[in-house]
Amino acid sequence: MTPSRPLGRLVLRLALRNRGRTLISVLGVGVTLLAFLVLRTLVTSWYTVNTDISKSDQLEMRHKISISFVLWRRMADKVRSIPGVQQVSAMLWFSGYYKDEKTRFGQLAVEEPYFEIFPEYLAPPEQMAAYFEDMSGALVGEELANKYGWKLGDRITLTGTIYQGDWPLNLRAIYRGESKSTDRARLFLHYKHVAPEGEHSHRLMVKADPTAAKKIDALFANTDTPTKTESVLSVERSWASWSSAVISAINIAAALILLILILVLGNAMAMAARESLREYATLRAIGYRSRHILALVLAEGFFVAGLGIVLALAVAPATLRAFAKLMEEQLGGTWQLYLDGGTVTLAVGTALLASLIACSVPAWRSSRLRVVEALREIA
Amino acid sequence: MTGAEDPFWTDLIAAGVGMLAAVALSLGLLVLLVSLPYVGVRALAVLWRREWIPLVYNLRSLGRRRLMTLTTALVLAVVVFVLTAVLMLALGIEHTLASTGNPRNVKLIDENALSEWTSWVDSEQLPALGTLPGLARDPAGNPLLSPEMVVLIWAPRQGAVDADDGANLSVRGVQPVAFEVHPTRGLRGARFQPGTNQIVIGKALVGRFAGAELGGSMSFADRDWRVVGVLDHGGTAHDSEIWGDVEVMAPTFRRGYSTVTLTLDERADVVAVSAALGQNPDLSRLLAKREVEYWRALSENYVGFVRLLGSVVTVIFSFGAILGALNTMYAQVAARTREIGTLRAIGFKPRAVLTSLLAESVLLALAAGSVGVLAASLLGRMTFQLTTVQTLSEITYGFHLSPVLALGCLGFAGLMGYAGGLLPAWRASRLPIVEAVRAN
Amino acid sequence: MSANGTPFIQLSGVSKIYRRGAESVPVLDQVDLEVPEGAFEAIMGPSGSGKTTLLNLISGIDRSSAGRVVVGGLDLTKRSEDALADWRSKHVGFIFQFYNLVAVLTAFQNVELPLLLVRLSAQERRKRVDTALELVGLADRRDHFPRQLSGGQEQRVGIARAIVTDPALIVADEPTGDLDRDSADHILALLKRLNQELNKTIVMVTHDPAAAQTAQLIRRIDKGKLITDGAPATGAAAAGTAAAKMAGQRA
Repeated sequence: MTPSRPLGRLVLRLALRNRGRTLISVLGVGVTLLAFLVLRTLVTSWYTVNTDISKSDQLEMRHKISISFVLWRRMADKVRSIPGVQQVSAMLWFSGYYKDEKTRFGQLAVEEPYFEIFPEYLAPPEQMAAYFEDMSGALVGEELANKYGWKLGDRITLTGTIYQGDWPLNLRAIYRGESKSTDRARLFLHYKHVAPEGEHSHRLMVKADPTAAKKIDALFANTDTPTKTESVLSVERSWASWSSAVISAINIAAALILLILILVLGNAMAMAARESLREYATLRAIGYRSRHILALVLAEGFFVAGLGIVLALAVAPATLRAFAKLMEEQLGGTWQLYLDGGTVTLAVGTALLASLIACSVPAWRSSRLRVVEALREIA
Repeated sequence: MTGAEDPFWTDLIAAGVGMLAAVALSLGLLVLLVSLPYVGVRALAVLWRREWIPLVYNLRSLGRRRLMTLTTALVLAVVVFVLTAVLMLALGIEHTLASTGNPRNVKLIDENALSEWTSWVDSEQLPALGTLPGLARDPAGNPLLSPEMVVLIWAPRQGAVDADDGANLSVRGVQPVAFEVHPTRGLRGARFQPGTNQIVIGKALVGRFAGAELGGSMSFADRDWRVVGVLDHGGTAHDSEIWGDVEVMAPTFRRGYSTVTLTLDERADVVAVSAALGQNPDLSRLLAKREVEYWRALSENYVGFVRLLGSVVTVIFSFGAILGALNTMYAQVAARTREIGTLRAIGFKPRAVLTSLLAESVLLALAAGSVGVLAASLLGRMTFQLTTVQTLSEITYGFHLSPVLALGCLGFAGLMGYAGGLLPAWRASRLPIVEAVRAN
Repeated sequence: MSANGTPFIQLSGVSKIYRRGAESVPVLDQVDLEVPEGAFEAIMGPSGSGKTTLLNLISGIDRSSAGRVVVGGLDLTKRSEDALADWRSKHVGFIFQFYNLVAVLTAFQNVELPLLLVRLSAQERRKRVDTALELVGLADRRDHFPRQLSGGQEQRVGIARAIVTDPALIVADEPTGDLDRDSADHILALLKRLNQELNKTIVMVTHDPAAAQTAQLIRRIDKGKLITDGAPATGAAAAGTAAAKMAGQRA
């Protein structure tokens, strides 16, 4: 028969007996777990690839020889003639900056069909209509609009680098992202505004069945401009894989955190158990069994770990936001770091597991005390 | 949970905790800062008057509680290891790129270009360039002026199953003078014969891409190219490049020159070159940049990012380590209360106890830190590949440990030991003798 | 009495009050005490009588709340913490009930501790430590750790440590409290020698009537006041016989 309620109170009392030490331990766990959350979120957010099958119809055409070569815009006509191809749009990387040379975000100059190829840039129909009507119009993601406080109708002036000069644009539409992985910090402008008589395109985006890719490449294989067509997914994956070194490093760091967590908690629990020696001995003397003592120590461990988890989770969202801001300042672009259910589960599970491992030795030792010796040592 | 959908109270909690944390952190740092003169004065007094508690006492006491000491030391070592490794990674990127440049070289790029790959230089501008002030010449009197064509190609990886498994690499079409403008450490095989499809590749590419080996054949721009030499550029960005004859490559890629690299005389400098460029209307669109600067600038953002990440993570980690040290030292003091009281009774002053315990904490941290730094130094042999938005091509980097870095990380370890040991040591020094002497 | 007639230890109107939160507990109440140089006195009293506090004030590890404490001509009440520490290292030797040796140091290193505070060469120190260890009969145990010694041996190391700087005053807090009869007798005999041969002033707090008998004078204290002025002990080492209660008259 386990007296549970009184034991619960006892655990609380014991933990609070040395408030300073308990606080330190909770902080240690909380802070370490926070680091873990930040790192894991960084890894999972590094590239959020939309693995939605229905999106495999988004293809990207580029010059086969080099990623820095351009295509002819007129190639789109030939591509449209292939069965299975639904839409083709030219695309230019505008690569300008806003106010400050360091302030850069994704700026794409595209044609109308682009938004049928990529329907995830969702904006209200009347806004989209306004955007299509205005050659100097701009479509902006809501993250970007929030960041710079832009409202519909605002004048946004970009300074071009590849396309020299100042480019004043009218904000006509703001899009939400369809899913978490959509980049909500892009700015779209009209291809024709940037290059009215333009013959070139950095990339040609195509909405077609994945099998069309090979057909497109076959079409241009022996011309001046051979192409390589692959799905957008595949391109993103490649980019992500090229940072694999850094990602591996981050994962290793996250694993090390686990180790530190176990050690810190173990340290704290060992000390706690030692301090409570007198209490445990007395309890044993009056009849509690060793498994009760075991439960006590484990309970205290979980208590500390639990508080640490709560602390870490409470502070995580704000920390991630601050971190994202720091990254933006450093690397430019926009970073979106949000807590993910999977990461949280992993973190909580890890903390509890660490707690178990950390408490195991002190718990074992405490439960095996020889009462007589313990009491004598104290007397 | 996504950002836009975070419940509103997370902001409140976060703000509250954030403020508390900020206050606590500032207080903590303030305490540390203020403590330094306090401790310093007392430590000096103890040393000057020769009234320190023998170090052997601290060392043996640490050894007595072996498990606890080792646990704390392990945590400290891990934190220092991570910090050192991350900084070595960042320094490695910076070092690899910065040392790609020759201190006496100047790169001429189109002023609108972001980097080599988007720059164009007209061949008609070349003769005028030959008259720039300070241009060095080789023994035969030829100017050390290297026009280069740089292009990015896609190279499939060695043994790739998927045609999409590969990376972007830089191809540099050069004239023979390039080998003098960019001196190499060594060459296995031979230089390419002008007018042929022969190429030399950097040593970092060997074995990693299809055909990238001496005698192998690489395929790009719809042609096959024979690898006749492997260059050793001393672990710089050039070690990840492919070089061939510009006269053959330019028509193949249908491109002209991208940049021109000049080697200047000892006494010459960039400013004079820039001035000369500005004065000539044909050349005014060209920008002169010191080669070392050019390459280093490419690494800035990424290095900054890695250092930022590393620092934030380490700061967070170090809290754990400091708290661990704190716990340990408190436990040490608690266990040695009677000894400390006795030492005080015998005549050791409070400042002797303070310095002694602090020294114990710091020494433990330094020892653990040394292990961490040493372990990190073992990474020095490792290399890794990165493609960044700045470089666009895949470059191989190494980890780089400098003496300054090692000492800095060691110092950080000592700081953690100090921070963790300060409060326990201070409290121990103020234990009332009467009670301490009778503690159990 | 010292050469010019003033007592070695002199307490005048000494009180000590301990504050526990809001409560004040008076431990010593207006105590007057005079101890001549070269005396060997025992202080006895029930638990909580203030006897240990008295010892602490005399040895300089505690401060009085009121009154004056003068030892060897020095007014302890006016000295700073650091000054008291300096004074103790040269003029006081401590003997504790539980020996209070540093577990990680050898017997030699333990005895050497007070000497580290005096400016001496390593050779000089070694000589003095060896002399002290010889005096207590433990020269062959100099490199042993406390855990390798018996209780009696540990206390002897404690005594060696207490005399190594040749202090004039030795304070002992229940020196035989943790020892069996035989070891206790040895310790007491040692103390007696220190007093008679080396002229050390010894003040000892004890429960043990036999130990008290080794002293020249027994003072009793209860509820913070000295009950009697001190009665002479019957001298000679006690041998476990029932303790004779001293009525408290000066011989």
